[in-house]
Amino acid sequence: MPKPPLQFTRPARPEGRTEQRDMRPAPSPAIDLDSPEVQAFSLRGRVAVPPLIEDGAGEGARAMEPVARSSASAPEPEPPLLDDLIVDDPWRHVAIKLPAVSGRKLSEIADLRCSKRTRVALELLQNPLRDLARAHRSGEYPPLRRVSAGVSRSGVSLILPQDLADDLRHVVETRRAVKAQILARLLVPEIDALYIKEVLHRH
Amino acid sequence: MQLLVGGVKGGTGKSTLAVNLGVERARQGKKIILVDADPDQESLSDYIANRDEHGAMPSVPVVQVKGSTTAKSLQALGRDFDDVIVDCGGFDSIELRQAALISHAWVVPLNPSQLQIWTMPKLKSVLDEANAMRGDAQLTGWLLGMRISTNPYSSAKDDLQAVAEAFPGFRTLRTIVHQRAAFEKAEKLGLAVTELEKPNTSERRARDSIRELHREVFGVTDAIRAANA
Repeated sequence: MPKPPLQFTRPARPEGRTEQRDMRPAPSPAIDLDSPEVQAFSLRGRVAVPPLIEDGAGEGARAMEPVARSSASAPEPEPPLLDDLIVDDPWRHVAIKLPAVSGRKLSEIADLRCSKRTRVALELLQNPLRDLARAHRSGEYPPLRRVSAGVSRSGVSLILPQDLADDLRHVVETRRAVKAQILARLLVPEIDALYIKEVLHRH
Repeated sequence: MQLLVGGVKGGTGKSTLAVNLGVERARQGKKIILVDADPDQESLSDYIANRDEHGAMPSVPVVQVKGSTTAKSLQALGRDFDDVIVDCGGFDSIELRQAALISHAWVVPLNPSQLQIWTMPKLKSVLDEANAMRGDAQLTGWLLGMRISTNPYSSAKDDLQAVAEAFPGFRTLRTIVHQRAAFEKAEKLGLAVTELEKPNTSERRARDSIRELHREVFGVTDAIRAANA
């Protein structure tokens, strides 16, 4: 390919291109989000499909059937919904990196319950985090199983209830730890146990 | 301001852009939240988890939303935060459509390669359908040259302009974000490129492009807020 010739004058610029316009945001639209038209428009978008579990669960496990809640979780209050968000405490916002296989197990459990990953994760965290905080307050610092997320990871973002956020803060500050590490180490064994109970034992 | 970062092609830099804009916004003292609306990948959550692990400040909250209640969740967040930045997956999803209904701005990161340009008709149909329901509050797609080669002979800027002219309803942002190692380095550390310490020349250029983009995207909103204050 021949070398392009040098140009000694600037090229002419088309009208309009040199003009720098303000990028003005659109105003807030007044839309009835519950209208059939809006629902139809939304549903023309593709639904995200949860990834397949690699370790043993077959197609049957993917059926969207409700599963009986474990007795341990029954009396727990419902985790907060997005609308209940109180945002002043940064300790309530946590983002956790899970090993990919744990993330997929969490998705599978949530699907079988017709629930959400975040809701299941919150439920699973409550007791171990409270127990850990209680242990720390009594001067014990139990070791936590190391979790290696590896290269392939699955993230889950949670909004903790205020009391759990307080417990988390106490644990993190006492151990001088990283909050996402504490939560991942608590969550992974709980996911494994619940996966065996609610998914694998169905077959 | 509800800012949608989305497109129908994966790997265009949506999550990278959302985090970098979000962190810069937080550094400006704005109360912001990132919304991970990509249940397939959850890249944004991973990024922020990595950021939290590294103890980077300011802390930037992230939440995940999914499905046909996405728009309502975003509206609820909009009442509590100055700015909500939504990262949707690289496909025509329910979440993308819901966000397009209520967002104030939609940034489409695009490296105008042929494969990416071929996704534009799909994107335009989503935008047009959303605008058909938005009444007077018409949404414009802001095309951002993202991951553009630093080669001075690259025609990406002209190509991007040609794309905007071919697809009414879209305009080009004047900022160009080039492909730079600084973004990968920052990503490993859970940082935005604006937070890299002792930046080299390339890292400074990456930082400057994000700051320029921040001004371009949020400038009008900030001016209106300042005038109303």
